[in-house]
Amino acid sequence: MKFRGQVSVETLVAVFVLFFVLAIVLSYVALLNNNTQNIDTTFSEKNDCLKLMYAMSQVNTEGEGTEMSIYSEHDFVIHSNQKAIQIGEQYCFFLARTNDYSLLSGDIKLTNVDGVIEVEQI
Amino acid sequence: MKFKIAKSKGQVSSYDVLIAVLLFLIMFLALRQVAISNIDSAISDLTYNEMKIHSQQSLDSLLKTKGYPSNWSAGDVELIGLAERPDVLSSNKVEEFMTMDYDTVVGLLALGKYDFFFEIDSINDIYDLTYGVVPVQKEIVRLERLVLYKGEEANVSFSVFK
Repeated sequence: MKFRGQVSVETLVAVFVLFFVLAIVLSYVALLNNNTQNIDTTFSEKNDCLKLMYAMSQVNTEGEGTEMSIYSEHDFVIHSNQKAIQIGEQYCFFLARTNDYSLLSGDIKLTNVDGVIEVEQI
Repeated sequence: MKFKIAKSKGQVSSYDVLIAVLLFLIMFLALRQVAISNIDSAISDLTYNEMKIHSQQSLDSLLKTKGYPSNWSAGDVELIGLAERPDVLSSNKVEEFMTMDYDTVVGLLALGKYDFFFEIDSINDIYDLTYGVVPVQKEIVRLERLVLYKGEEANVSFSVFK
């Protein structure tokens, strides 16, 4: 090589190919990371929903006067007509009678009053 | 392995680059496969957990409650319960339950996308009963409880599957 600082065409092509591959891999990793975060959120909401659902049914099954405290990581809505708990896009269906509620995350108290489950924030 | 020897300084052998990129891609694809299989495993665990909770919820409701209204019939039932008192089954309610439409029962037990199979296996064989879809799937949650049915000890099993 006669002049310093010169780069062969082959090197340029190789560097270009490496950057191209790296760009594809990085964009794929970003996509995968985004999907993983969505899955994490979905799992967390679903688990919380199932926990609340089972708690509602347990308080109903155990009979009048039963009380239970439970922690919810997410805000949730109870639709009494559908017997459903909604957390984000997740729905869980319980076996109990209750009223409509919209509650924030935190400690929740469930009470069986005459066969109807009352839900309150504590 | 024979590599092409660069004749001038600063040149990069295209074989070197090719092999490096190939190795990188193989490792990347292997790691990606591990990540995907972890996600599949987590989804499978969640499904199993969901099936378990559904089966516990349904069986508790059937065996421990009277249902709503407490003297329900197939036409007006809101919550299905087969018990006179916890773990003692009412023969009238069991008979009424057996006449109900399967899809209606799936809805009332909030089983959603899951199917179920309910079985009473009494000491006295003439009281044995089955209701629902016979499970053939591998992914299945099966719970069993002892109850009193028509004055006899009986084993109730409840299977939930996808």
